Amino acid sequence: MKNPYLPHVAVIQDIRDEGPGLKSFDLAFRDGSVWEEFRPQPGQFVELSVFGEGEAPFGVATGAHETGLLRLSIQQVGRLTKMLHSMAPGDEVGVRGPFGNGWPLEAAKGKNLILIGGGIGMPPVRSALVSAMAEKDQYESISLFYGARSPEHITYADEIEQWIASDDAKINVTVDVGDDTWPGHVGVITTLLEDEHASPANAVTMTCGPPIMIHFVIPTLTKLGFSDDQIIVSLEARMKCGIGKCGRCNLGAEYICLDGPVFSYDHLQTMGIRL
Amino acid sequence: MDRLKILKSRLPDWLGKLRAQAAVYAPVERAGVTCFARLAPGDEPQLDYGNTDTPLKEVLFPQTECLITWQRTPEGLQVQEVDTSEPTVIFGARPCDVTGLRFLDRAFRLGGIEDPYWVRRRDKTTVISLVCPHPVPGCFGPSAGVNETSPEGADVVLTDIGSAYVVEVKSEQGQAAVDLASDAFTSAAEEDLIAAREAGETLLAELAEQAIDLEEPEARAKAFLQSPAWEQVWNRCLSCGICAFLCPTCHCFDICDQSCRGGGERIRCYDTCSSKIYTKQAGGHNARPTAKERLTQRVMHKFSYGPERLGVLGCVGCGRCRRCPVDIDLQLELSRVEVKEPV
Amino acid sequence: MSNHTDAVRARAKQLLESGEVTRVIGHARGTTPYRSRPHFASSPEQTDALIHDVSCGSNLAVYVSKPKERVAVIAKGCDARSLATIIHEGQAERGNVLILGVSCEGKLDEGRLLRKLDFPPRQVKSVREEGDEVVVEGPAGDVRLPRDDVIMVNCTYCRARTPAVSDELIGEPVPPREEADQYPDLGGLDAMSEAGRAEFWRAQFEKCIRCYACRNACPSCFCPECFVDEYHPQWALHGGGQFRGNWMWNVGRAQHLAGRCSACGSCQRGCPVDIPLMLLNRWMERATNQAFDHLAGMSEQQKQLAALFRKSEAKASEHG
Repeated sequence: MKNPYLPHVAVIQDIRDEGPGLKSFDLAFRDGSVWEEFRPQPGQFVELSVFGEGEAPFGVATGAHETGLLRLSIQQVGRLTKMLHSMAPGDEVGVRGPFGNGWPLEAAKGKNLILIGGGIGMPPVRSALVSAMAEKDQYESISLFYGARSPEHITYADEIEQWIASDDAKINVTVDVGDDTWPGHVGVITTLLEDEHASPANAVTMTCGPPIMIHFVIPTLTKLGFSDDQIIVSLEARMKCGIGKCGRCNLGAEYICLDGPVFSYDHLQTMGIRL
Repeated sequence: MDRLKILKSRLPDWLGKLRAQAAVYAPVERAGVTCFARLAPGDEPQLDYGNTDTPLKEVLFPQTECLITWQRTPEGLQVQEVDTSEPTVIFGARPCDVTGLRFLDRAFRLGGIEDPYWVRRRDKTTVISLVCPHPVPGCFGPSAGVNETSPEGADVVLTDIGSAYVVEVKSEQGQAAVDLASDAFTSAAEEDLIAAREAGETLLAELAEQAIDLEEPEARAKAFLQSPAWEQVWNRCLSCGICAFLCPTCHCFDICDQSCRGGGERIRCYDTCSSKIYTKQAGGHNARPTAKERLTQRVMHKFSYGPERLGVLGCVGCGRCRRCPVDIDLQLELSRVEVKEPV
Repeated sequence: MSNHTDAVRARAKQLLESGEVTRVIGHARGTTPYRSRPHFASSPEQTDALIHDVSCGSNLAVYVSKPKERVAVIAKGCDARSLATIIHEGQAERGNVLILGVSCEGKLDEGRLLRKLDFPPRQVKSVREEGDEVVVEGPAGDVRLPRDDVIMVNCTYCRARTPAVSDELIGEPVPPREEADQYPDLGGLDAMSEAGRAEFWRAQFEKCIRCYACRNACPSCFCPECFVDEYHPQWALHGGGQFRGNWMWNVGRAQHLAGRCSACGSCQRGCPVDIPLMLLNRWMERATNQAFDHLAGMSEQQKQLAALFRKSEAKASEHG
């Protein structure tokens, strides 16, 4: 019997600083053949083991077309992530998954795809963005709205420059608080959406960020004319098992780990969930 | 199928044969508390009990169990799964506890993803249920949909008729368990069957006095959470784990690591939605910060989400949650709430 | 006699009507005549449900957690000891807690009571006190039981039957039990060998399911993060049903309560697997009482045991 609790051993290949307290980890499975069955879809997450510390869920940053390396971008917030941040290339961790439903990118083809990311919610948004850009002809357009706390908190800063240069997607970045070096937009993400006149015409939005950001983004999108079914959000919760057994992420009759983490807002409404 | 009976004096023969083939779990008393424990040679099960203090589920879903082990070696991390499942017989379980396994069966197979630790044990387990000779105080099994005389999920059902048990074999697995000691069983006579039927009828009549109204559970749950009683209830909840850990259907758990000398174990242990830290994330955010949100989750999971997702009520009427130190009795509260007609 | 229902209701009503307090924390009738439940009255109407009789055992000080406005607490002697302790430990401003003391001759132990009855619990119609007896009205009339046989064992050696700390007292003062200083309840443990005691506690702790009802029912267990939930270091293995972690949890908790336990018995009353936790707590109390002449919460001026230091103790420690 396949054991969903049994992690695959993965080796840290590369670690990059992404900003204050944030690092990206590129992981390769020690047994390279694992990747074929693993193949995370954009928007899915994994349970990462630091043996002796336990496990925690992280959204996958890797795009659908990027094979072999699992990228996780992780903020140091607790004891497990603290231990992780002290690790080095060559160190071994465990990975279970991938879990969850992922972004409905297939259904978004032919439409204007609007990705909205905030803070540490960027990894799954990056995954969706690079996956879509790799098939950009399939979409009417692709745009990113990204809000960071400050210029130094911008995740994937180097890549963002490349994305802007590539012209494959329209990239909009804002920071809550600017500084002398920041020439771009200043203000929370909702102001960016309004100032750039995000349009609901033939569009679908996909949002990932902290609960407080989602709480404010949804009414903003509604005000801009987006209907509930055009608003797709990825929710976070404390999770342990990742497969709908341990109960922690129970939301109505559903489980964020199993039925989500991606939900359409109209579905959440029918479940009576307010964000 | 012919009904059988077994004299109480022949029970040790049967148990001996079962124990030769399987780990036999039966009610025993441990330091003043009755629970299901593995019978060692010579152990007598305690069958004249009301209900066990701790629920049957712990046989198949232990309070604490090791999921995997890891070892650091020169060749790198070695991670191994643990499988302690073995052929098992549950002997003498009450119908409510047996019915509770149904909820867990569905939960541990939810979404087509099987929990191997549960499934491996469950698939190797034969359940021999024992009908209650008298109603256990506080039991309202029939109100929660429990078949008190022939519970779903049992492979064999025993009904006490004095000097013997009338035996109902409900599955092939049950037949195999009986066949192990076929000479200990005889055909039940007509009067034995009548005695068993009357015992069941008497039990149900007595249980009717303890019945509560749990019809329309979802509507009741929602109405209760809007009722004046609700505020007092959540205000007094102590956020402990009694109701969940003693519940035959609660299955929430925690997973954590325990290291020692270059290796360690990853265990899972019971956890509860009542706990203050259950949904607390590493960054400090807590989706259910007060007992109000936490107990709402319990009420809704038992009576609305569970039935919606798994098709069965998250309560089997055993009444164990009435051990609540602050007298929270959710079932009674729900039974008393006024359910408004849908508009 | 300790049925103070009328007096408690009347005073609670006055306090809420006059606005002296915003909330009265007391007891109401529970699901059976031998059970009470905590009850919160925030309006004069809500005081109608208040009761105070022999069933009102749970310690209400557990609901006092840094109140921002003044609350009144119906407090038996043990509850008052808890309140004095947690106020001293910074869990509430003294001015925000009105201690409505009630005299008490012991509160029911549900298990002990029900074991004395030869009819099903649901046939209990009422329970009352008369003199030194508890009278249970059953299907065949009254059953009279000596009070000491059906109250919590710890109540039979109570030293605070009249609250030592209170703002007001409801009921006539009751003197402390003479046995209080003699720890007769520990006789059984004393008679055991060390190995016998270890075996006794092993059997008890193996039952622990780690529901933490003991902790959560205890007013003195107010740590925002309990040691048992910590990871660095992981003081106690997680999960019930295993001895090592259960031992560490129960012994660790008892040690943290040394000199802080009010002997209310809420931990033991809450325990779903009947671990005699009061034996542990009383064991610790005897040790701290005899070594340091210290009992928790017996006066408002009293310092916490761990904050007490006498010069004579420095000398004692030199000698090991």
